[in-house]
Amino acid sequence: MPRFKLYYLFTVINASLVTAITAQEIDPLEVRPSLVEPRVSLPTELIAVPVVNPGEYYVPPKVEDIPDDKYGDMVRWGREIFVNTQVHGRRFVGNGLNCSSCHLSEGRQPYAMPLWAAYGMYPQYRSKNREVITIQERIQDCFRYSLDGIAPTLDTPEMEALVTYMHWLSKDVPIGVELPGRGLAPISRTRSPSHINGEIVYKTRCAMCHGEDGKGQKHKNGVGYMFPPLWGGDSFNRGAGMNKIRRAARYIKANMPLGAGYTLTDMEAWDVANYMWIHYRPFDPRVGWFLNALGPKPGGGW
Amino acid sequence: MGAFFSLFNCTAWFGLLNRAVIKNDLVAGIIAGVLILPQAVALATLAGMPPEYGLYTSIFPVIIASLFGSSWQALSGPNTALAIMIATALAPYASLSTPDYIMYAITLSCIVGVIQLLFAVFKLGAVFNYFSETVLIALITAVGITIILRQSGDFMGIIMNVPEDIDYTLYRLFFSAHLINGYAVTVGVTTILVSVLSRRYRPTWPHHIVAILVGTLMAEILDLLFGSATTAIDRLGHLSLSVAPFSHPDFSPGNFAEAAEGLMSAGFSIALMGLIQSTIIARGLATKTGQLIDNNKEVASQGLSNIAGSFLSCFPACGSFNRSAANLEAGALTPLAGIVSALALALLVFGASPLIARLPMPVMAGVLFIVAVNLIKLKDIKRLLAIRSEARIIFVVTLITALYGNLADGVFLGVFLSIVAYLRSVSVPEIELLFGLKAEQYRPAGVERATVLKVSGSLFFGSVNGLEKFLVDLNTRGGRQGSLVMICEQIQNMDESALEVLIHEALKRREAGGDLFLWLGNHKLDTVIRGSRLPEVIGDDHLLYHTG
Repeated sequence: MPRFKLYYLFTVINASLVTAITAQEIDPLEVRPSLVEPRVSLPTELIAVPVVNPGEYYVPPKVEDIPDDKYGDMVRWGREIFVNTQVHGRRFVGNGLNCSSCHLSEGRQPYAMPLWAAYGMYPQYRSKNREVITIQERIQDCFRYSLDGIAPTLDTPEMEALVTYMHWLSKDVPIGVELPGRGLAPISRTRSPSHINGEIVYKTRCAMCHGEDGKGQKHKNGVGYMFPPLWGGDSFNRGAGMNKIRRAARYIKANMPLGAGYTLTDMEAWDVANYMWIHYRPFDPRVGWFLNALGPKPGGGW
Repeated sequence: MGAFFSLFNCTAWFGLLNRAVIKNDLVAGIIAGVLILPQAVALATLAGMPPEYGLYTSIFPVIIASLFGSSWQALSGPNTALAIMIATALAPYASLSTPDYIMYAITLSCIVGVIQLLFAVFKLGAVFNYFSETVLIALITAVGITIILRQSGDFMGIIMNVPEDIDYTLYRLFFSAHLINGYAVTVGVTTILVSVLSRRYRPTWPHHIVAILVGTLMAEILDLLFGSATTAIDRLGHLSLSVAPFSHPDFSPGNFAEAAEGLMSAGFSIALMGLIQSTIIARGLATKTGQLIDNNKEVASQGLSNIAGSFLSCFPACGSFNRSAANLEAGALTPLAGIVSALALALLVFGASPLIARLPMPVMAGVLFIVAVNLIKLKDIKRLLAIRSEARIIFVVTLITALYGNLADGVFLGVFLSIVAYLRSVSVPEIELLFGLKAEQYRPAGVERATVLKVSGSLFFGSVNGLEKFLVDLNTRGGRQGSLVMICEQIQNMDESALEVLIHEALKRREAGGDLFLWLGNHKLDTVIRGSRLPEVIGDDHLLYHTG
């Protein structure tokens, strides 16, 4: 009797699963889960690595699917600017970075400030600007701080191209909904971060790409960086979000080392972020040289 | 055929070269090259193109036009009027400085070049000698006003909608007054003030360059004091220049078809405007240097430079007033100076590109302001408006059309009005009433009293109306209904309608008891007159000649 019951239960579960799979409409967020690769981790000490389930994060359309019309041309141009800002956005960039230096996988990577999660959230109030800003004004700030350059005016074609690329990347994304994978990963902290620990972690885990001196590695042809500089004159300036230790730690936790995110412990991420923060980088453009030279360095809190 | 090939002869000036001339032109060319830099960039932004293209346009067409041109000092390059016409023509089809827009501009350059070359091949260069000065002053004034309004946005750090009527621009300026960026205005005003002051107190200095240097320095100081994100002064940014920026005009249906109509008509008006300015500059320089100008060759060189430009990433160019004047002032003697100026600019741009990247937009706007104010020549305008004549009407009509419609309409209307004015001046034959001894010597024997008229010019269907009116006036108001002697020695040509009027007049005079005599003097008009029925009507003995 119990044996029979168990069998019965099995068939019911099985049948319900089958109906669930066949009858349910596919959620827009589940399209093409194959693109999201599960992470493999080979840690020296045991840490928890979240496994990405198919459909957990939104998957943007493929590059091959860019339409072949004027809209598509704009999308392609925007993508070129985004991926190779050093060449296509040369007019506005002041350092050696590309947009995709931080927004990994051409702006698709969850928890690496993906574009598709941001597009539906603007216009929004931003305390840094002390006003409601549009997505264009947000991009201007990227150029001012993270790219340490000149903000393209709102009517420049480069700005139009970037927004068009974002728009295409965010196909079917709901407006005003916080999607999973938006912005940066959460992180916990058990003690104050230490740049001395950070230096050890940096030397063992980061220096092979970003260099012992943190100046990154240039491409063989000399245009732009294969691995972006983390500090120094060619990196983001003191006004950038990445200059905040907390922000950098959250980024490092989910994305660094490249392709092996979540392999650092939370505190290791904090320490490396602190180690990054103590180095020289271009001045904060929001204030004059006087405050920059004598005032406190921004971004230090956690 | 020889004349055709002489259009494309670029070696005429080689004979002038010797050590002293080469040395002189090298110096003059380098000075002229440095002077163009700010304008090259500023005019590119005015044309809606990325600044790189302004530099290409100041390099390649200059070389070609200098080589093939007729004038030895005229310099080509981006031009204020053309820049505005390009922006108004292309703005409806693509957003400013997008790849599509650039492609259209390059295609437009080819169209303009071909039209200009056709003008040269059909020997229509002489047409531009008749272009009325009044119309040109009106068009240039319109350009000046348009630039001032167009640049006011950059000047104050606000974004303006580009293809808009001037009254909307004024409204917008008024209503966005609270958005004005004080730092940008400070920089712009500094630029203008320095330029004005340096021109007043240091007239030998290149005031544009001084103004740009001081303006840029001002922006840098503001940035250092308050931070660049606070001041938000827009910069030119890094240029990505290429040594050989090859391109090609795109007439493929997919890209060209939708803009074809606009591009073709814009091409025509831009070609006209370019030629008008180029030929007038060449003529103006020739009066100073005493050089003989071949208009057709000048037109051909413009066509060639624009066609070549379309394969080297250039937008339409033409002769430039400021640059030619600067070139002449620097002491240029041969086209070598023009070629050197282009190469000097190229070297400067590649050498100083990090500095050029820091050029603030309000400084560029300030420079354009000065250029624009210099375009509005109040003295000429006052002179035109003071004279009560048709010139005044033409001036006002062209100016309003060019400002409220667009510059292209202004050009077409201007050309039309020039022709009308010319025809009107031709269509009034000079008629002089002779008295006393002067009249006496023409009085035929056997006629006691006769009215003597001296007519000169050409009598054709257009001008015959004037003669008719005069004759009617003479009869009714003047009371001179007796015999009439018309001295036709000075008449260039006559046509059927003029002869009809004369026949009609002869019959009328006979009715009133008078008669009509024609003093022909020589036998110049014989073929026309003998071919008509005039001799039958008034009688052979009424046609008078010099005896012997």
